[in-house]
Amino acid sequence: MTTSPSRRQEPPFEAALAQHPAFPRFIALKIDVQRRGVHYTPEALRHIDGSVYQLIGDNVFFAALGARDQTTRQVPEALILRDGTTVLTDPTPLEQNPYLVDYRDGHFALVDGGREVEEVDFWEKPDYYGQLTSQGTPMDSIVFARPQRLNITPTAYCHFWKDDQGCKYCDLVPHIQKDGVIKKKLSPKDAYESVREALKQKGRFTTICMTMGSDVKGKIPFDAELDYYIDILQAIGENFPGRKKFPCQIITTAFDAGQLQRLYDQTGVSSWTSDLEVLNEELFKWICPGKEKWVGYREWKKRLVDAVDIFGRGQVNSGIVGGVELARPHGFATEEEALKRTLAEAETLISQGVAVVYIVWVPRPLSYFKDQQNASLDYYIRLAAGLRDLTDKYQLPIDFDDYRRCGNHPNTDLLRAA
Amino acid sequence: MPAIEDIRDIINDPQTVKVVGTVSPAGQPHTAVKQSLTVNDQGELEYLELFESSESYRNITSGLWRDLPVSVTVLSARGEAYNITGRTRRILVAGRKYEERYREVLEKHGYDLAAVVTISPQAISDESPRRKFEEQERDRFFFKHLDRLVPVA
Ligand code: SF4
Repeated sequence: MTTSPSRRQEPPFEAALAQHPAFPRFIALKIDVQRRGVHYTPEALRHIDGSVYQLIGDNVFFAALGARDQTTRQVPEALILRDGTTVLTDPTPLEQNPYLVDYRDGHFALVDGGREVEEVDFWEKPDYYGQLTSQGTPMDSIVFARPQRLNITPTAYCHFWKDDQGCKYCDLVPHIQKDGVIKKKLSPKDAYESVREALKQKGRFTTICMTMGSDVKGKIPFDAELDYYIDILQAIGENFPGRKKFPCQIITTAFDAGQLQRLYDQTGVSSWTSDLEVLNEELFKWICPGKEKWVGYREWKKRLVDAVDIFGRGQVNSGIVGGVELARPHGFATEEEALKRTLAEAETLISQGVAVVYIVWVPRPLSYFKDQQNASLDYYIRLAAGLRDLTDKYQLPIDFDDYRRCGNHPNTDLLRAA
Repeated sequence: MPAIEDIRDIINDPQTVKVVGTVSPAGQPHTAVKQSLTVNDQGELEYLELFESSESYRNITSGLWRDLPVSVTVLSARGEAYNITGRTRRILVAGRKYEERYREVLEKHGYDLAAVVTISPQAISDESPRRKFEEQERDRFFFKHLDRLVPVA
């Protein structure tokens, strides 16, 4: 039986990877960099050209806001590896033993223990950054670019926080308050214009992803959230005249079947995601009290399965925060048990056409779980491989949330070469 | 062994046929004609993977992940042939350089573009039939049919 070892007791990267010879080194490195975070050396910072690369901005979902290193500003948003794998990173103070990003021998490199482990590059800044909409809104404050995807976050608030029922790993509302990030509610016109401008850059974007915090208001709970998404999506859709659907992912609260049908019928959105966050009913109740109160674990699962009939197989998935199932004191006691139970529960969804994707849990300083530690590299490798194997078993495509259209899920990174 | 600079013009000639050989994750060999293949300024091979759903794109990715060699064969219009073995150095899927190549492909063929692939050459062999025959005649005494040794009447 294994338990999450402290960082000091952990085997080094190469030793952990050696236990999984068939697992790609690039994806293992991505996972480890996300687990441990990065710290930029002065030499790296001196060579990072802010006119070329995408640096931290004021988008609420930017990784470095609320990051482990609260002093960090003006560093690249994320890394890109030689195989095209993207790594959303969390700037982390040196005392927590992060990877270093250094500049040596004419290139940027990931360094661990003084040794260069891999060459890296950063995401490039898109052309629309720095431009204003006709209403004077900075486009990069509402539409954030990944290497091949446009991320739209229409509002910066989650109503679960109102009665202190935010998810325990989440820092969205606390960091907005602490960092003083004030975001106007996005208008459909601003959304339309920003996307129109972004698409002038040929070859840059393959998809659009939209998400925001939950909004419980409305005749039926979440009607307000749904209505708002519909307004924004219809405006964005005007950029694709004559097309009923366009490549687009929307990550929302678990709408019921009637709401989902409305979303599908009234917009061009082509895939739907609703995050269960942790694949265990008891842990869900503890970790996601707002989601439990307003929908509940079993109903959430049911709505995901119902969505397959509306959006189609391969067009629905659910995200989990990998490793949070081990959070103390109520999480699984061992990684062995956590893995077994998580994969078994994932299979109940995947077998019904709902894909499962994970992100690496980063305990952030403004979240309830701030003092905790994420899982071992070994655990994350086995979780990625286990989910990939289930996806293979049920032949379930996840094209809309893969290495290129998202880039933040180690298990879908693997599908490039499955 | 010829150097990549010695055969740069042959590889960069659009008349030359260029074939990239890869192996699937399950060990299946696969070859594909890649007329976009050229030698770049750094002396590396560079070609365009057009289709994200293609077997060659999947293989080149898994090959980089598993550090497997890639085989490239080129045959010029004059019959010069070379085989280059190398390792995938980079799969470029985004950024200004990628976008430049994307626009070229879109304008010329109307296709999308999966990636710009760079291969570092490690070994080059001259596969021209005339040269291979001369080498065999010189080095492998028994590799011949006897009738060739009989003077023609
Ligand atoms: S639903 Fe949970 S994870 Fe999402 S924004 Fe609200 S509190 Fe955070």
